[in-house]
Amino acid sequence: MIYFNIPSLYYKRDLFLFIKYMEQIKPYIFRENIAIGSVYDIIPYCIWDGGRIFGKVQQASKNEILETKKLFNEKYNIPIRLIYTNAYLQPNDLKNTWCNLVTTLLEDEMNEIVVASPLLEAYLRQNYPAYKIISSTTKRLTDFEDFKKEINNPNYYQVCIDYDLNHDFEHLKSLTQEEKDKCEFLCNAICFPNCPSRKEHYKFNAQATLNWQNIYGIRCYMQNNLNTFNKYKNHISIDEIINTYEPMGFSHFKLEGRTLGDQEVLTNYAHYFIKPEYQLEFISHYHENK
Amino acid sequence: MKNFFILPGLYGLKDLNNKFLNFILNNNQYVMNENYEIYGIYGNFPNCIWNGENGIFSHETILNLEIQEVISSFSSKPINLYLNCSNSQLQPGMEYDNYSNIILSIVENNNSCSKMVITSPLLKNVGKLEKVLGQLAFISKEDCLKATNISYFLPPQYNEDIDFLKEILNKKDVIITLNSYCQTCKDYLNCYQTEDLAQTLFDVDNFKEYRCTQSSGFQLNIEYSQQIKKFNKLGFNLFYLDLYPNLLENVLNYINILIKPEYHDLVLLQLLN
Repeated sequence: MIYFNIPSLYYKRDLFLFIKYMEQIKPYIFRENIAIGSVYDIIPYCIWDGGRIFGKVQQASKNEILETKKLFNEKYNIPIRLIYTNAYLQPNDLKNTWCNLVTTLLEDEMNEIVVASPLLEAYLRQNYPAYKIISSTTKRLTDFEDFKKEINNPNYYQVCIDYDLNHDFEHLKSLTQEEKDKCEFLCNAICFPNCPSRKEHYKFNAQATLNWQNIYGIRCYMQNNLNTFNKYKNHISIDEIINTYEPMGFSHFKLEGRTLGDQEVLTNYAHYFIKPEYQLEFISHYHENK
Repeated sequence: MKNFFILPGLYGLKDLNNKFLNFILNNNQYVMNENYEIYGIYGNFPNCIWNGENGIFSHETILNLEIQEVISSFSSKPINLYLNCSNSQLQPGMEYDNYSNIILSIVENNNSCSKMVITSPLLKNVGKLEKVLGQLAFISKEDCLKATNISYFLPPQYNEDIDFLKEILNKKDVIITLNSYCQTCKDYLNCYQTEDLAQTLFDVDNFKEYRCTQSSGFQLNIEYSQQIKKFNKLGFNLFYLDLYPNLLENVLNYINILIKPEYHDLVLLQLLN
C-alpha cells in the first residue's frame, strides 16, 4: 500500500471531503493500492508552526477543534498530523495557551506531530506522550549519513527525507526495510532544488509567526509555478512511486499544498490518486458541485 | 469640575471611535456637554486570552500590522489607551502568552501613557504600563477601600451606595462605570468569571451559555447628567461608558451621555453616516 500524507486538516478540508465523497460514488476512478496516510496542517493560530506564515485564515474555537478530531479520527479513522516545525521557540513559548489547548484536545495514539525544535520535542514527549513524533524536513539534513542517524533514532515514528535526496537511489537502496518503513518523501516540493535560502526562509517564517506577522521579507527562489509537475528535479511523480519507490520498499509520501491554491492541490490529488483517464472528470466534478 | 470619559471597544468599536474622536477634535468640542472630555479608550483585540469581563472571539485573529494600525490611529489623538487585561481566570503560564504580549508591546511602543487593566496577580509585573485594577479584582467593599494607591474600575453594584462612595479616599483615581450593562444584576460576577474562563479556552459556546438576567440593557430615559452631578458632588469625575452588544446602542450611549441635547441629531447623523 502507498500512503499519502495530505494537507487537508483545516484550510483545505473540503478537498479531503471531496475525495471521500468520490470514493463513495465512483471508487473505480481511484488508483489501486493508494490510501491517505494522514491529514496534516495546524489549527490556526499555533505559534508552534513555523513552516508557513499566517495568512488571513480562520481562527478555530474549542468546539471546532473537537469536531475536527471527531471527523478525522472517529468518522474516517485517519490520523491527524500537526505541523509544529517552528525551530525558534523559546521556553516561554511552550506555555502558549492556544497551542497547548489544541494539542490537548487532539491528543490520541493515532495522531502525530512533526517537529523541528528539540526544545518543543522534549516538551511534547513529556506532556503529550500519546502522539507519534515525526522529524521534519525543515531540519535540512542534506547529508545522507545525517539523515540515516535521524531515521535510526528509535524515538521517531517517521522522518521526512530532505527533498534534495529524493533521487539519491544509491543511498536509498542501502536502507534496510525497517529504515524504509520510517522514510517519508516530499513529492511535490514548491521549493527550488538545492535552494540556498530554504533554511533561512524557514527561520524567517518561524520568527514572523512568533511576531504574528504576515509579511514576506526574504528572497524566494521559487519559480512561479501553477503546475509543479516535472518542473523540478526533486519532484516524484506517481509513475516513479509505482514503478521505482514502491518496488524498492518505500510506502510513505507527502504532498505539499498548505499555501497552494485549491486548484493546484486538487490537480495534485488528481495526479496521485486518480487513474489518468478519470483525472479530468475528477477535477470537473469538484468544480461543478462546489 | 471637569469630567473625563473612557470609551469602550478598542477594536470592536474602532471605526465608531475614530469617527467620533475625529469629529469632536476637529473643532467640534462645542457639541459636548460643558467640561466633558474624552480621556481614553478601553478594550482589547479578539482572541486575546488576557481580555476579561466580555469575551471577544473572532474567526479572524488580528495580526501584528493591523494591531499597529489600530493602536496608531488612536495614538495620534490626545487620549489614553486602557488595555483590557482583566481576565480573572488566568492560570500560571498564561502571563507569557505570545499574542497577548505582542499586543502589549505594540501598545507600549505606541502610547506610553497607556494603562493596563488587570485583575489577575499573574499580570502584576508584566509590561511597563501603569496598572489599573479591573472591577473583578474586588470581592468586597473593604478591598476597594484598601486600594488607595492605584486607579481602579469600581464594581458597578456600588454606584448607588452613597455612604460607601463617601468613604473612598482616592476618588480621582476611581473609574465609575456610568451605564453598566450589568449594574443591577446579582449574577454578574459569575457571568464574568464564566466568560473569562471561556476566553482562555476559546470556548465560544460558553460565551453565550450564561444567560444574561439583565433584561433592561440599553435604556434611553436615564438622566445621565444628573448622575454625573451626583458623582461630582462626591468627588468622582472619571467615568467609563460600558460596552453594549449592539453598535447602535453604543452610538446612542455616546450621544445621550456626552452630547448636548441640541446637537444630538447632528452627531447622530455624523456617526451613522
